[in-house]
Amino acid sequence: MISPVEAILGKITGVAARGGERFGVSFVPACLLPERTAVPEWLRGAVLTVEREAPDPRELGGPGDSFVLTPEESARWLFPLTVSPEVSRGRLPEKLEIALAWWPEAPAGFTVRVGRRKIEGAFAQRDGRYVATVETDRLCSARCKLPATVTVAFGRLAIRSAVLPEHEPCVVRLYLPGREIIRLENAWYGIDLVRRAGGAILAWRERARGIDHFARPEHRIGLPLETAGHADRFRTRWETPERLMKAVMSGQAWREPCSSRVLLAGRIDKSLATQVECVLFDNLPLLFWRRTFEVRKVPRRKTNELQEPIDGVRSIGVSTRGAWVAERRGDTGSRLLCAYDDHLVSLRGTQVDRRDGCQEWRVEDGWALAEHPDRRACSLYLFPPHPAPTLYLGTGLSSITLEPEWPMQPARAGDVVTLPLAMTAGECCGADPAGAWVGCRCLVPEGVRCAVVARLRAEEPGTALFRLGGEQREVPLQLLSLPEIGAVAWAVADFPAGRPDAPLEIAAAGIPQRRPA
Amino acid sequence: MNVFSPRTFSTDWELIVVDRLERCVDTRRLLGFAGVLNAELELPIIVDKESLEFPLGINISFDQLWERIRRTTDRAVELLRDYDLDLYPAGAHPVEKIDSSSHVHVGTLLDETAGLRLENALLPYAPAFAALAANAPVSHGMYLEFKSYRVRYQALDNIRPGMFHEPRTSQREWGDDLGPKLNLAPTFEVRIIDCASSRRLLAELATFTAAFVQSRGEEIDEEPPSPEIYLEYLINRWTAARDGLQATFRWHGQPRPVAALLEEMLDGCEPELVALGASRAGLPIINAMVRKRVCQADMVIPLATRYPDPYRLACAYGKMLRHWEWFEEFLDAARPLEPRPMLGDDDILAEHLKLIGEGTHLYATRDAMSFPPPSADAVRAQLVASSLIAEDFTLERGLTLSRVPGACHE
Repeated sequence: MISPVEAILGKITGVAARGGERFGVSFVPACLLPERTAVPEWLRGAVLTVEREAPDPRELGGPGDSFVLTPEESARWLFPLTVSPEVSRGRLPEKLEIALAWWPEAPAGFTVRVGRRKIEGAFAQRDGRYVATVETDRLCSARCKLPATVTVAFGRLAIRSAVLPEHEPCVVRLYLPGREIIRLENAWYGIDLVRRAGGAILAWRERARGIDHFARPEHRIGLPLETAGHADRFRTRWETPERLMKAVMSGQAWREPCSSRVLLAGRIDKSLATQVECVLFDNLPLLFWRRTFEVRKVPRRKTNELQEPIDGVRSIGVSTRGAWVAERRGDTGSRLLCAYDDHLVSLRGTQVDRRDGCQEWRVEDGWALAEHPDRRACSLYLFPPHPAPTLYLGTGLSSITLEPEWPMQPARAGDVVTLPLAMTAGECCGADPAGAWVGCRCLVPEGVRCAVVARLRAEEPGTALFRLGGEQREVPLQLLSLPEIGAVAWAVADFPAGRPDAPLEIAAAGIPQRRPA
Repeated sequence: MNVFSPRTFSTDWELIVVDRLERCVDTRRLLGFAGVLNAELELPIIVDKESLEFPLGINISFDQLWERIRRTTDRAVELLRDYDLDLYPAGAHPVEKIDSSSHVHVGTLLDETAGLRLENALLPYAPAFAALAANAPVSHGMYLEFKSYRVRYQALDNIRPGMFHEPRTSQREWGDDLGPKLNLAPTFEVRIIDCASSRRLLAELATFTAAFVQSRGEEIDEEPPSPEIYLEYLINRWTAARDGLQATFRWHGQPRPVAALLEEMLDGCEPELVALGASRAGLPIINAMVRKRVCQADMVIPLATRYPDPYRLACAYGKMLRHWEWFEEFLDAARPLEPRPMLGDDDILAEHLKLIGEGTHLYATRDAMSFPPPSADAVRAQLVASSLIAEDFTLERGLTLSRVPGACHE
């Protein structure tokens, strides 16, 4: 699986002067940065050329030397086959535009398939690429069951265009250029899961505002989940928690009466297996996430050596990591919030490449909030209050991370360690020692629907006050009990005449909305 | 009587090695190459973390050192080329968390007590060597705020700001900017110097450093300098890391461009240079650098500006680093740079304030300039008094600081 932040590292075969400071650099793709993974099979042995500007041609190197492309330069070779639109809603578009940006020889025909219906087509050459337009009337009837996928196949290349329902929740697998994802959608969110990194969240879009909470900087080579995204971690040693990068997961996704569910399972190594269960509720902006680690085997001493119970034990700890592009300014910017006794604690790092935390200090209220005031984005993480985690704040070159880390525990073969989480994201938030909430909106046929999800100390949650534009609603907060996590308060208010872009203000359980400094 | 007798010097030059997939070669693989070079060149070439380290033996003259540098690097390049490997002589790597230096060893020092007192006397000059050698303006993704991230971030704990020592109640600690190091070859080591990209510059740097240190070995003050001098050393260390040869130091409270200080240092050690078979005039690269206020970091800045992606920069930078004369060519063509203003008290407050976000632990502010507790507390008190920060204390987390929103520091 390839991500759009990867780029080709090639070995130069020749450098040709093209006048002035311009040079044509020919190269054979060698691997993909940053992880130096193998190049796709269609690029093996291919000689490719890009143009470079270099005041001093020595910086380009010569035959046999390494040569690094940008992610944009790499894309046409890494993901040559594209279909437009990638995702459509309600019905299949009348036409699909198929393009092959590059191919080593004149391409043979392609096929387009929806369910059992299949049509064949041929590319025409235009502006240095191969293109085709496909009429879709022979592929799908107007009553085509949604979600549906349109598979475009060319040789061993295949991508899928998806047709998602206009207003119905759904879960669908998508094969888009550079990423194979499982998309869960409800009225509030479109959430993209990936199987890599042991099952992780690559994108979290608020559909009404069109904002991806896990948007990452473009044009930079980097690990896909490093700067933005949600991924779990584990510890079996003293050091900082390990990522699950090597765990390739398989699994399934399906609809249930009131939710969409994904279950992925895989192995981290011979002795440790992992599983993640992800549930997106249809009627709430809330994602339930439950990770398990199962100790399959503990390496033991040789049979002729003495055995004690400790020889069958390994230590294991769980941790999770939400990462967002950080707003960094002098006085304000992205920060983490949590409660500590009668304090509201705000953590905002200023130095990069740091991971700060305090072993003595545990977050006992079962929530932590990441707030990005400039872009009006916030994410609330809910977790079991006991055992309470230690909260770590990470500051990468351009990211802020929320990293709760739970105490390690001894585990024997067969023991399972779980990490249950619930997550919500939105455009406004409130936090004080009594609790925290996040609010967001969605567009439904009935108008604008607003919701708040909260974690509160009080057993009686009280009410939520919504104001959208000039309209106001006061709605009782209700309690939802999530397994292992406990009570989550929520409320929903509809504004049939509300404008989709009207300012939203919420106060929940008496906790006012936070205002940017 | 000079504490250095006989007069010798050397350098431990650390060099990253990269392959044609832009990977830094790891310690285990480097050991074999170190072994071959060690045997062939009869020099104690070793591996230090992810670098080949070239300790260049005991030298008594510039020519002898230069010949060893040339012969060693020629052979190393030839040997590595057989494996499609290249030396990567830079102060830091643009992608990987690796710093490299060119430590200079000055000998022969048998009196450790005198060495500790000499360390006290020379600490104020350590930032001048840092400015002259600055060659790490990019480091594991960080770009161009400093001319030496290696010095700014203390080479990932491999060089720390030194401390004044009272020999009767002190012990030598490894890893300071400079100090006596008698555990192997009995020398005084200057560690603050970034890895040189030019081997000719390295020969000049090592010779000048040795000559200057030896020039101070005659009469060593028994009393350590004042706390005010120590604070200036720390401020100047930070300034050198940021500005390289454009730095203006605080020198007894007055602005003093580092270029002027280096001129004085060069003139002041002429006899010692001659004793090492060199002369002020025989150090043309250093003379041009000081005259133009241009250091090796300035050579990397245009390249880093054109390659904002660290992976792409690492690739292009590595190609240029193959050319030992790259810096001399750059220096010849470079226009003189202007000195930057001396860091004022307000600048120092601002640099400490920059490190305070919300819930920032007290100790994080020490990362600004490594001030000792009374000075760091004074800065914090000023920030509190100006209502720029607020303090919070809990038994579990200790003292934490938060920026007061809306409060501006001009």
